[in-house]
Amino acid sequence: MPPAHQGIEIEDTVTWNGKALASEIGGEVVLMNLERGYYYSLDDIGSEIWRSLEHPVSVASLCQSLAAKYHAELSTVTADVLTLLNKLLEHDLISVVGG
Amino acid sequence: MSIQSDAFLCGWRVQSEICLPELLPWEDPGAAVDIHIRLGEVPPLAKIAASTRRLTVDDAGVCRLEIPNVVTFSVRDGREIVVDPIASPDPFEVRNYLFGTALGLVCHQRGVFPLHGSCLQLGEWAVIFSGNSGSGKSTLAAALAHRGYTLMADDVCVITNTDRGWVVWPAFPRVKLMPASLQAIFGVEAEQAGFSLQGKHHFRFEPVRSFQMNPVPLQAIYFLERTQNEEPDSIVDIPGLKRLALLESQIFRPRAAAALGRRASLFRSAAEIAATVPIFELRRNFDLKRIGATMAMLEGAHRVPASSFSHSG
Repeated sequence: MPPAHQGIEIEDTVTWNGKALASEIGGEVVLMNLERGYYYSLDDIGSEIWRSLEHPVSVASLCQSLAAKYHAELSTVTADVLTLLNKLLEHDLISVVGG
Repeated sequence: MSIQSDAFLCGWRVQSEICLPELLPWEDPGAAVDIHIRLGEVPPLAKIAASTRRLTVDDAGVCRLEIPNVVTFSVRDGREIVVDPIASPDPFEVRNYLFGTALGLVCHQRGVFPLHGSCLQLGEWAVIFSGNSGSGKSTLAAALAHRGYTLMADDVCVITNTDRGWVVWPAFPRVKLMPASLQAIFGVEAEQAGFSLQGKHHFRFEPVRSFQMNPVPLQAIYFLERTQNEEPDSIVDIPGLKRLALLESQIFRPRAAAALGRRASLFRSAAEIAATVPIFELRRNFDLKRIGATMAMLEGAHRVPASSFSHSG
């Protein structure tokens, strides 16, 4: 059994874990976990977040840039981003760097 | 051994030391040969990098496919197939595996996308009927061919991306049918139908004059679903992610593709196809008496004039 993840926090740095195949259909990112054989699709913003995870990125700076770009409250963006990132982690599509 | 067939298969020029009567003869003597098929021994591979039930692959991507009590193939670079049959082979059965799994290996080595399905030309366009085994692909294909449309492929559809979009390469005009379909569509009893293998009769469409050797733009892919009782036939749109999952589920010989390291590349191709080719579910009743209504629905959807293709038989 792999160790249970602790969940992603604002101070973490995250990136793709190399287990997902990704492509795009109509501007939306579609993902498949190679080991589990499940398919996922992300909405516009989710797709943008996925693309930004190609290289390790800190969750805090990701949230700040999204909040600035979409003129949104940082606290709202942070909550939404953490929800998505933890879903991606749960489905073994990303990993925490050094985590 | 001498060359027994110089033939066309999915756009490739095939020269073969075994006779391949299903294929149409190659027409341009100046063209380079794409696939050489020769008879010879196929010993076990020296170094095995990946394997599935009947397939071993070495680290150069050379495949050895062993069909017990029938034939062993070696397939290399998508360009050379060595056929090593048992002592007294049924040539028909050998060719069935050659045009099945061995062709699938050629596709995966060449990096083209082989989709499990049957393909018809409707008007200027190619239309693929895909779906699980037993979903009625070949029966619908045979019925449409009997109605006058050109059968392009049965079982393996070779599709590639071009500057005109995705195209289908014609294979050969043969369809494999269960006896009930044979009887319902052609009025032919199983005993009269010539070759049969694993319960399916292999039916060649004659004359093959309408069979073309050019790639045809792919207009739509239908995934066949069987309906129950009185549900009328229908054509249903499929959301993007499900399109991708369905395409992936019908890649021809997926385990061989994975053994050849083609998994990620095929996923990207499937996503591109899902993004650019219209893909639908074709919900239809299995009652063979209702297949005319299914065909009329398709003719309406593809705006092909049914009357000009109607068959006298």
